[in-house]
Amino acid sequence: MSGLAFEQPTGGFVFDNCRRNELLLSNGVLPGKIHKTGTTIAAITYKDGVVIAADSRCTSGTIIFDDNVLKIHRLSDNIYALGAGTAADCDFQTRLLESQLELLKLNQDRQVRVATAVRKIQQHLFRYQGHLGAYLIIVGVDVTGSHIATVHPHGSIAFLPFVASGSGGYTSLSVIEDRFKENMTEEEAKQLARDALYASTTTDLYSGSRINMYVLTKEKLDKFLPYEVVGVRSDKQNDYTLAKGTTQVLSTNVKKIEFDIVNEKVKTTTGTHEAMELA
Amino acid sequence: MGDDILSYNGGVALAMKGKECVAIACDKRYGVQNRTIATNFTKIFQYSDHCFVAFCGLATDVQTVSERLKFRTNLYELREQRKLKPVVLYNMLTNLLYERRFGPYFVFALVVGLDPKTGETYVYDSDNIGAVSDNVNLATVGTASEYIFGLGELFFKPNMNSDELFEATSQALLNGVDRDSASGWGAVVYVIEKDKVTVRELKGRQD
Repeated sequence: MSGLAFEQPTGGFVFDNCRRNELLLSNGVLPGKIHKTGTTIAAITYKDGVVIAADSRCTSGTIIFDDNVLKIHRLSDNIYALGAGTAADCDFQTRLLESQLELLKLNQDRQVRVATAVRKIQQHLFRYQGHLGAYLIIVGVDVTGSHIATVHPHGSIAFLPFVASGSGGYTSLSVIEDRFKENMTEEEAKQLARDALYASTTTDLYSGSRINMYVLTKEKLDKFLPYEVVGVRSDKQNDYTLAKGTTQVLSTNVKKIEFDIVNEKVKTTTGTHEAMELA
Repeated sequence: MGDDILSYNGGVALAMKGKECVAIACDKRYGVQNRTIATNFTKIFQYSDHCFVAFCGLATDVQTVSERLKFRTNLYELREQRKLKPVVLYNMLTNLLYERRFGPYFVFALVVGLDPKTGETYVYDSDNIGAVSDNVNLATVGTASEYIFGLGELFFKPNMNSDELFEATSQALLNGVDRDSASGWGAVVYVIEKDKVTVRELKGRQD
């Protein structure tokens, strides 16, 4: 129910606006543009683990809303997810999965496996029949080795040695297909991931800015935020600082905020201590 | 109808960061498609001493979401016995919006805040289903947002003091709004600093 007094968030989706929205849409009203992460995300297995890379652009229609988004989401210490598609869905579904995996880990007293994470998210997304627009790549290293899985919004998955997804996915994939080989070294894998992402950040409209990269193995997690800045901003040609008083103001209202004193230190200025004298 | 739902009522908001200060500004128009009904509809709401949110989009949802959020933040402050932090406010807002992922509210939001102890500044923007954003330098939502993005990028520079920040925010907003018919009719700018919040009404084109 939508009575304000009874509104206690119980978790899960709420559908009370649906009827109203349907009416609006049937009258020909267009819904607002939601943020999509456009994106290129890629993951490659190598000898010791996996290299994952993502760009950092978030678009709303063709406007770049955020130039520096981290599309790599932590699911657990050894499992990470890359998200493409609807930004809100990627963020919230990976957060939900992260908390479920944490509880599972505490319950079973073991490190969580990649296959578990993939199965959980796949079943969850299938329930929503593709309406949650989360194109995810789940990567991780567990007791059974290193794994990469791609998950689609309808719930289909594929475990692969390398994968690239998002609007720039095909571009990246073509670079990886060309040069991928089994058991690469870490440097080769990083260079390949970088080249794949570079190709798509420069060609795809919806990918750009920076290439963020993580290297995940059984022992370590290296974060490169960013690994490379592809979209380097040029400096402004002029100083556009506006002088004080440029804008005409009709009225000013200054609201002072009361300070809470957190701690107080009193420093005396006399240097020597004199013994107290009792008269 | 047959138009974008967000331009049904019009309106725009902008937020910018400075050095230990943040500014948030909005226009004051409230209209129904081509008719202007009121010119005192500000879209900025206060949730704590240093936390403000601006909502742009369908006016009914602006009011509903701002009030629903106030409800939740009031409960938070009563339960936790402490004031809201900007990150907490932002998380509450995105949860509220994402709950209605299927059947969303038609509001785009900007959350700004300041930590009075450290001076750290926060500017977040959200789409209407609560897509999480990182702390950004400049954010704008509303019908004139595309024009204001350009101006904002021009006038923004890092570590501005509060006067420079006020001028940059105001000029970006006023000039952007002059090119948009669905927003305008005056503007309000809040400049939030550690010890005070300065609210200024701007003189702009009344059309």
